[in-house]
Amino acid sequence: MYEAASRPCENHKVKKIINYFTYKKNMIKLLQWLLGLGLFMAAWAILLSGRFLVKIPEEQMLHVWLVPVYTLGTFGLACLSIIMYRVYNFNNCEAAAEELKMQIKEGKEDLKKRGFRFDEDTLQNADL
Amino acid sequence: MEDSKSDKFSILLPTYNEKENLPIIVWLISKYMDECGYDFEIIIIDDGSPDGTLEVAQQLEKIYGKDKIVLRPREKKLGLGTAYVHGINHASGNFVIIMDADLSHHPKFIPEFIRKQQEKDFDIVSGTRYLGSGGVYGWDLKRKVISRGANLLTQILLRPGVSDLTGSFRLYKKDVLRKLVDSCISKGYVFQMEMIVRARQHGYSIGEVPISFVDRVYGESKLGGNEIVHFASGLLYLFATT
Ligand SMILES: Nc1nc2c(ncn2[C@@H]2O[C@H](COP(=O)(O)OP(=O)(O)OP(=O)(O)O)[C@@H](O)[C@H]2O)c(=O)[nH]1
Ligand SMILES: [Mg+2]
Repeated sequence: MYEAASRPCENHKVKKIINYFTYKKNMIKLLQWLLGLGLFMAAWAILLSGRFLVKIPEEQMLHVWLVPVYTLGTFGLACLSIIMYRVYNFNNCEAAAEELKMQIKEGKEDLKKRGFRFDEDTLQNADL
Repeated sequence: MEDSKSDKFSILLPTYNEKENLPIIVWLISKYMDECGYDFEIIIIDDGSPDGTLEVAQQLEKIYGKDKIVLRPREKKLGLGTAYVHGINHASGNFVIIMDADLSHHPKFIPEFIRKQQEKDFDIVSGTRYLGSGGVYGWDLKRKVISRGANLLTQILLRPGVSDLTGSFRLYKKDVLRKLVDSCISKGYVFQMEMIVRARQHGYSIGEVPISFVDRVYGESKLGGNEIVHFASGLLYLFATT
């Protein structure tokens, strides 16, 4: 069977900080995303400025400008294919539905034997 | 397990217009629980259903006895969240199982939940349509796409560590459930999402069991634009507060 995966374990300090924000402050998920967004923007700004770490040739700058578009596009495509895959592989529980139908019949008969009165409205649906 | 002999399972069935489904679900629960020899009670919380669900429940009480069928009706439709609170307050078991009475949650999974719980003494066991042998019956392509899409979005935004957040077929330790219910403020099935997200927040352990979900045969089903707006706002609320 399956167990829900627990939160991935980072090192102690990081964990402490995360715990702090999950317990005392309530902004955690939103905050995490803002933090991530901030880091991304910073890295992008560095690339755009072309001053630190890497020198990007002039003719490649267009692509650097388009990094957010590329990122969003890739992310969107990944999400779409995951959803498509999962919809395709979503189990159709035919057998379970069949079993339930049988059991509804069986249950009704047994209950009637034990003195349960189904009213007419239900009786009409009895062979559903 | 020796001490599991003294365990008692209180099964909460909130009902609103379920007169066709109620006798069957009670019959099934009693069948599977008796087969496995578990001690149980079924607490039926009917919110003044106009179709006469309460009268059906009273008949069942006569057949199965007052110790097995506990009727805790309320005057009018007050919603699912408060129905659970109402039910817990009358539960005499040390475990509580919450399920829908519309036959989409099959009682055959209850013994599996119980075995899963005992495996690692989980605080919560949650049914899941999205793992392993789990699945659905009676959903068209559109409904599947919405369900899978909503689930993926939720997984990305909340990373809850549980695969099925909107399902409501779960087993809880009673004191855990009471604490969770107290700390949740959402309504409808966003309430189910909040329960599991807060459970993670509190550090409760959660096990999962694949279930097959057969969409209701009797009665009305609803999945409109309203539901989707309700879901989206609930997701945003959890995203900004947990
Ligand atoms: N006591 C009580 N029970 C309710 C209320 N609303 C719904 N229920 C019951 O809660 C369970 C789940 O409700 P459903 O109407 O099946 O909700 P759902 O599963 O989200 O939607 P569909 O099955 O698609 O219609 C069923 O057993 C209902 O009878 C309510 O206001 N009070
Ligand atoms: Mg339902």
